[in-house]
Amino acid sequence: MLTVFCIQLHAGVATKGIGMFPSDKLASLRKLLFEMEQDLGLADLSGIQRDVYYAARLTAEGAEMVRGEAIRSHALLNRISRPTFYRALKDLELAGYLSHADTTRSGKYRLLR
Amino acid sequence: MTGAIELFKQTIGATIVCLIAISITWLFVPLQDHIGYRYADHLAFMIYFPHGCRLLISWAFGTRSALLLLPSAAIEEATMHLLGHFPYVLVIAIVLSVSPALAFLISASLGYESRLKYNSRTHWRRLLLLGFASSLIETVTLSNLLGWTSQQFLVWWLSSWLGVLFTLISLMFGFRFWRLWMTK
Repeated sequence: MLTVFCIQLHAGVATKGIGMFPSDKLASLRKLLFEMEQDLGLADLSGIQRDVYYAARLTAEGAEMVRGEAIRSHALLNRISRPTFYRALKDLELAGYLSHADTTRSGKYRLLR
Repeated sequence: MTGAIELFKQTIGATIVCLIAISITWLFVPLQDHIGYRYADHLAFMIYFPHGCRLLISWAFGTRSALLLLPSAAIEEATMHLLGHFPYVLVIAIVLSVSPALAFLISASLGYESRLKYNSRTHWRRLLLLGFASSLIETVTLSNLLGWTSQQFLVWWLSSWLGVLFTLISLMFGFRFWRLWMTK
């Protein structure tokens, strides 16, 4: 019950932000704090998360936004199952590498770094 | 009208954040008393979290943060120094709310734009430096206005900067635990 609530809270925060902090500013704050974690040696991306991130970057080809399905079809991710892929996308979102586009139903992600 | 409503919402949000920060700062007073740095002797905190929050709000909202931060700074100073000292309370509140924005402006004029609106790649180390600079601006200004001793100067400066450091560290661990818990 608590997990469901927190997932919904996170989804709400990701799309609308919290009060005064719109979601883009929150995402930037999370990105900054994640860089701090990495610089202090506390954060690592797993192999799968790295592959999904690289696939996203390569698929985007310099664009700011990229479709989830387009990332999924990249050759780097051939051996990754669909649930694993979407779990890695969620992890990257939480870590501040990606964020959902303005409408989560668009299936698009914004590359934050 | 929409702009005014937005400004009002942001001001309320900033006020709540900073008042939570000062409440957390007060929670540390028994600890600082225990290690020998008695609040009653110095009338200063060892770690001043509101300065960290003010810096982050300035980073996110730029120059308008000076307006957003004024109410919380005024409330904080008024409750600590009694309403009888109203002009001083207002002056201190203005200095507290303007200093972070001023630090970012000075940094931008020197070619190091760090405000989120203009630079989405600001590194956390630069924020720490700007925290250091803004606490220096604040301390020099207040010291000149209020005639502080060098000890008061040093204590205020250090506690503000430690507030920035500990705010960033606390938020980092907070987001980390949230992220790890959500991905379990």
